[in-house]
Amino acid sequence: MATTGSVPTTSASPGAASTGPSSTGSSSSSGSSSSGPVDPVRTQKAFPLAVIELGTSAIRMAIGESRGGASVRVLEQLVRGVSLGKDTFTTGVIERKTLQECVRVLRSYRRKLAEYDCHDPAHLRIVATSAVREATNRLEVLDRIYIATGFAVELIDDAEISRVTYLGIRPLLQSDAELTDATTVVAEVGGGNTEVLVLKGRDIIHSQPYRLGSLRLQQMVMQSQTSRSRAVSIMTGQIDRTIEPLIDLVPRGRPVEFVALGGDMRFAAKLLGIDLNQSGLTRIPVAEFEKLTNRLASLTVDRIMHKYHMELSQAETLVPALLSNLRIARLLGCQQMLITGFNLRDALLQGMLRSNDWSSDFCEQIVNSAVELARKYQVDLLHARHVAELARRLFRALQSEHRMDIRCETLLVASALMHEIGLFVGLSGYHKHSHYLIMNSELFGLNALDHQLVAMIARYHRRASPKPTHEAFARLDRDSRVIVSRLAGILRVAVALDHTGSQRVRDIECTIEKNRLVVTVTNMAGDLSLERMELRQRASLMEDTFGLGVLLREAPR
Amino acid sequence: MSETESIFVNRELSWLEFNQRVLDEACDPSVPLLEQLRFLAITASNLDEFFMVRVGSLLTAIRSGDMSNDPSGMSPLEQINAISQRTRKMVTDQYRIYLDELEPHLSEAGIRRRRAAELSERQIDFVDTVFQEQIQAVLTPIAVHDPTRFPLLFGRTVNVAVQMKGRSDTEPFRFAVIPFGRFDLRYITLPSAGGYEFILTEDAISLLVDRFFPGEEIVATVPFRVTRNADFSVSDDDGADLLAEMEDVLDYRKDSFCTRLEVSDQVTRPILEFLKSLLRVGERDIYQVPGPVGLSDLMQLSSVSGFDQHLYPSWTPCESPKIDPSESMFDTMKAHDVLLFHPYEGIDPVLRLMSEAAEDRDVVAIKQTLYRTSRNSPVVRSLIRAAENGKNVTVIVELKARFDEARNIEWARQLEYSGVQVIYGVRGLKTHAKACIVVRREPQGFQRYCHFGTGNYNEITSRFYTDISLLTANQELGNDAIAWFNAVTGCSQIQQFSLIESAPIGLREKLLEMINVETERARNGDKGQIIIKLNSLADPVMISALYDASKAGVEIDLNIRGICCLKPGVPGLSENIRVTSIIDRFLEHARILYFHHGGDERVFISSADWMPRNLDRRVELLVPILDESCKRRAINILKTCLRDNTKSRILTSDGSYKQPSGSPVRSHRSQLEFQSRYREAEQSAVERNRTTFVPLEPTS
Repeated sequence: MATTGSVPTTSASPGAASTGPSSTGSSSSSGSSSSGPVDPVRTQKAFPLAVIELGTSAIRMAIGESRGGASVRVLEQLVRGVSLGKDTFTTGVIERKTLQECVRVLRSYRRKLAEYDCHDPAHLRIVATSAVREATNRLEVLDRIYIATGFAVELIDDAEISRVTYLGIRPLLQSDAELTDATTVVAEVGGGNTEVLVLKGRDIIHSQPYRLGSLRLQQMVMQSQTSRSRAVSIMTGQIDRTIEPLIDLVPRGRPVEFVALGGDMRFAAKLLGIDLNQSGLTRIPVAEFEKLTNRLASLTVDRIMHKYHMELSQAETLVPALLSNLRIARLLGCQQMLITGFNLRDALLQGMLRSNDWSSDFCEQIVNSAVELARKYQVDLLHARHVAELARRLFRALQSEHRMDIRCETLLVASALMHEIGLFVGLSGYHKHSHYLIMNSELFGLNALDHQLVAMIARYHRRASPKPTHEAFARLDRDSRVIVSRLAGILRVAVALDHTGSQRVRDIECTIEKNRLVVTVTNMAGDLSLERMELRQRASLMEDTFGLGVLLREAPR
Repeated sequence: MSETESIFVNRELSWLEFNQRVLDEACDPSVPLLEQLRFLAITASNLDEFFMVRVGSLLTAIRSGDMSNDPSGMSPLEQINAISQRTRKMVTDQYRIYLDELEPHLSEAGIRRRRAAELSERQIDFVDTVFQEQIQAVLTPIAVHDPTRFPLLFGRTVNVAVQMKGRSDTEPFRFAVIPFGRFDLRYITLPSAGGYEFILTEDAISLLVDRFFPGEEIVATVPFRVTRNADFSVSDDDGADLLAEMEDVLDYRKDSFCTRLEVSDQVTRPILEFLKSLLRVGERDIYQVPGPVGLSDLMQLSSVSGFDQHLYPSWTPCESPKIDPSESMFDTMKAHDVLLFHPYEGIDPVLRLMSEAAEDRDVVAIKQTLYRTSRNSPVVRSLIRAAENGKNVTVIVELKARFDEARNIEWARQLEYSGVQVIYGVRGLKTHAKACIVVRREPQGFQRYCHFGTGNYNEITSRFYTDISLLTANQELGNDAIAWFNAVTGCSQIQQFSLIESAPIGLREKLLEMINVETERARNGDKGQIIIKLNSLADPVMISALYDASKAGVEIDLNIRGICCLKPGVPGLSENIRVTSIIDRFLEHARILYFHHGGDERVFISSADWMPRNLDRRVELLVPILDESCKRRAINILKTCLRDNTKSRILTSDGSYKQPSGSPVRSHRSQLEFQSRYREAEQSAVERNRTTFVPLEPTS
């Protein structure tokens, strides 16, 4: 069977490749329900679905209903204060009492789910953020919850939160004309961390978590046993120090817009008399927000609880959260900030309905993020982009062989863009430098596993092939090992095709003939000897993993 | 008004004025005779509760040394003295009305009370038989040797004190008490040639009391009645078993201190001294009455059969023309909101919603509040049936609903036994809101059907309390109702609502905001108008906001049935405020709020009166009426009430009430107008339906 490089990759949905490696490894990034194709039953009939989030100061649940299509109608939103973060960020361990409270809340949520007959595991996603993720006894916590409630909690990392957040707010950002050309900073101050996305127009240029959390700040102040005014000053100093590097990520000389997400901001909007909705962004003057923050900062936690009918866990972290947002706005020099009614659970609910979270736009954002990292390490971007494009064509040409999906294609392209960033450190063994630079950098949209795969694919673009004796490689599961080997094999061929760095091999057509991948160069590239020589060295991994030799041909004239 | 004079009326005295207005109905000759008797019994029953709760509360404050003044500037002691003075006059009026006006008229009508001395021989024989068979077997006299060791007497039941001659010079008299306890034979029906004759049980006892004390010389028998403090609540803050605690409260209520002693004015000095010592009451709390103690028991007499001509003509609630009885309530509510005005319209649609919800296989959940409900309540039956049919049923049973605790404990247990998830109210607050939410799975998704009301889920009281029911399938209201219910049941923290407001969270603020909007408009020269119909207005903050609104030029009409601590018509303070109160056949209980809002009129119904306890210590609801047709109806109800010049009384700036002056061109009696209006609407709907023929055609 012959396949050309123009085969659309979107046909390879993750679910369609259920027997191949692409069917696994993505579960933590997009959730079990979102990685499959559109379920025809779901699109026709209304059904309930729910998301539970174990956050730093509360356990929240959103129950929604799909009426077909991709829209979710939120039926109920529940919040119960449980200070998981307080334990984790002070002792590192979630205490037994807190865990019991957590189980009690989850049991009550289970009853609520029963009201809506929401039993299908595919329609339920239970996630935990930094408070559980960073607890040293997290496995014990997850097991206890599972035994007591039957809920399998999924730990989601910062990248996943950024990804979900981006997918959720993307329509809002696109609907606001003033953001089209602006630099937009989107931040959500959580209890433990603050997720920041920097966008240029609609493209993500940075995704960065900061160890700045309202609960962490509150704990820090509480430990210092200081007066309220002094506490604000201490927190301000801490916030400013933590977010200082953010200014370097924001391109100079352009207007900056700041979108502040989170429940605390929604509450602030309420106090400012703003009626938020989920489908739009509302602007508030920073000066007005500052006045409100100062007013709240002058109140005791007890007073806040009483006045605004809040639970302690919420009241304690309100001022630290608002102060963090205020300082970010001030750092960015914004006169106004944007607030929305959107929240993480809404986005997770929407995500459960998406047949494929790896939309072309989302993949493009990952690629943008990789380009920005490559630029940071002074990679020859012309070469990198060309290799990435060749790799993409090869990947698509080999579709019938590897049956991988758009996720794997994106991982390959990202690796191709960054495969030479190790040169920033030095020439010798630069592929290994590339590996650790990628591993220690922030990349938008990739969860921990995908991030690791990208780093490894880049690492194996030259020299030694993946081996069981390579510790990091050996730690991967089988499917991930296959992904790395196959994609590294493709990347090696793409690198060989632009060995000269001149991008002279531009247009290629690929066909599979018996045991060979025949790459025909259709543009006038001149003599291909150098590329052939390089291929002889680099194509062995392709041969090992696909069982295909590589033959480079010039198109007949 | 002098500078030192308070701008608020004292709430206790205002309440007593309300009771006086009820008493006025008891002596209004235009009111049917047995209805007059019923009004009299209501005033007595109201006073019982007043002494149990309000006087109990003030006496507790005095005992604990709390001398803080109320908003009208009176200390607890000053209030107690003023209450005592005002109540004495009221009690005198009550007995004058009963003995001088009602009893002679009742006698003429054929309902006659016989004293012991007036009985015929046949009647004496009959009483003797009843005494032997029913009274002597049940009642047990207790001889009193040491008053400090005497068993405690139930509150609000009749007792007979017996004075006997002593057996030595050192003990001139001996005393015994015959407590009626739970024995509820208050009257003995006598055989008579015609009409209805009866004797009070205490009179029958006095006739045959020596049977209880053979060999003793009886000097006197005197009936008396005790009212005890009931102003205490359970501490539900420590997470203890509330159900068990509430049962303790019921026990405690039996032996709490005495707030009032009613005793026949035939009492002898020794018996009075004995009772004072036994019950530890002072002169201020003793009421010597010239007739039967416990006039509230006359209520039973007002429904004696065979005298219907002395009652209001019976009223059968109308069917709402907005509801097709052949259509399911779900279909009706999906088509449009329905506003019902009880008792002019029946509560059946509400009960039908619950009953259909219990049986409907697509209903997945029912959430409901229960504050007070009837015995054998169909609402409770529906909830039990729903749970048995596998629905998720959650009910907030307010165990702390005063005087209904025992019944609510019983419901709570029954419901739990049937699989209903029962929540015993909210910690530290009473759940007074009335709401029911039905969640139903439909082809287009989950749909919420809500009922919001101003009255309790009680089909009995719905026949004589005026209340509003709003039935709606509006999804935004449904979302709010669900979020509210989740918060109240502890499933979730309190969240922001879109349309409704709830006490003690944001209801007060919302009301103040609505008043302030009118104030601002009036200040800017625009029209500002507020019409409020409530049972009670006593909250100083809300009253002050209304004063401000009045000063700014807002036109304010208040239709407040009961307590009103606002002083209307005071120059420079409340010139633009008019307060009326309607007391008529049905108890005015609907709470409707209207704000002109620059022409974009806002109308709400609410479970909350404007009193500190409702706005700060109760879970209450404020629900907007969104449907234009329902809104117009609610406004119409308000306007009709304000137009009343027959059963309405006008509050003056000194806290007293007066009849509308002058002879009106046309008299308006709102409750009669509502009756005829709703009956006409029902009949026209019937006429319309009658002219519709639906042919039954063979299926092709």
